[in-house]
Amino acid sequence: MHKKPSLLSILDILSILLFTAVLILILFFTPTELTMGPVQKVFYFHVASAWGGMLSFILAAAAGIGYLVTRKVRWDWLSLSSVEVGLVFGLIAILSGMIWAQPIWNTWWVWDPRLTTTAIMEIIYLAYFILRSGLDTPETRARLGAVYVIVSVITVPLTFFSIRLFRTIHPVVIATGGDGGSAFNMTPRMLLAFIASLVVFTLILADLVWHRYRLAQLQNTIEEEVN
Amino acid sequence: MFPNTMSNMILGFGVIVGFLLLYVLSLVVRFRRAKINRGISDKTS
Repeated sequence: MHKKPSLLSILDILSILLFTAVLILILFFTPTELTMGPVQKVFYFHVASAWGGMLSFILAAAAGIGYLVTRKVRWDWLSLSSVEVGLVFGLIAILSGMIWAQPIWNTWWVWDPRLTTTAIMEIIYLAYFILRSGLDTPETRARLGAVYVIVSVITVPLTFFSIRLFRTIHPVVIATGGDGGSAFNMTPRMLLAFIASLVVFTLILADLVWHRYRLAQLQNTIEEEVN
Repeated sequence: MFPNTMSNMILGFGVIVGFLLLYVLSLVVRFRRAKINRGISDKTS
């Protein structure tokens, strides 16, 4: 097992400090939204975790392509790590969204296109681990896993664009000219907190994927020593 | 007057921070278990 890289230690500290700073920014320096009240503040981390989850699944697909092209096991570790962290971020997005929805929509869950596609995306990536656990040889596991994450990545644009493709009650956050009417009108401080949340969750994502990658590396070494 | 959704906000942030910490904890536990399995005592990781 290699020594922990100093860049990873820096990333650890930076993630914790920036997460705390952004949390303080959201709680104490962003204005309270008029119609939703304080629960609207959950939106910053809700969107950021959904963004992190989707980014992680795209990274997993890219790593899958990397494995199929080079056949180097390190791409499989990256793919596995990205899917696992992406699932955690996706779960956070779903749960925080449910908590927001309860007072705003008066229900925890509704079979809205965005919520449904997000749930399908999570289940598909959860099945990735079931697939892997059913395969004994590391080569088969890596090859089929790579194909699976490449095919599964279609759920990411489907989830992202679901609020534009279908009739939905889910708010549109990143708006263009066509759907700007249903978008949030953010004040400069709200926008700052929103962008800061996206940045800090991307950093946390990189940090966690790196740690998970190192764990996969260690587990692989053990597997090789046993066999 | 804002609607009183303070408790929902606290629950929301609690769940977000809680799940992140839980995942970090799971990584720590799995790292330790893997190191024990390998029989090394690398305290640098």
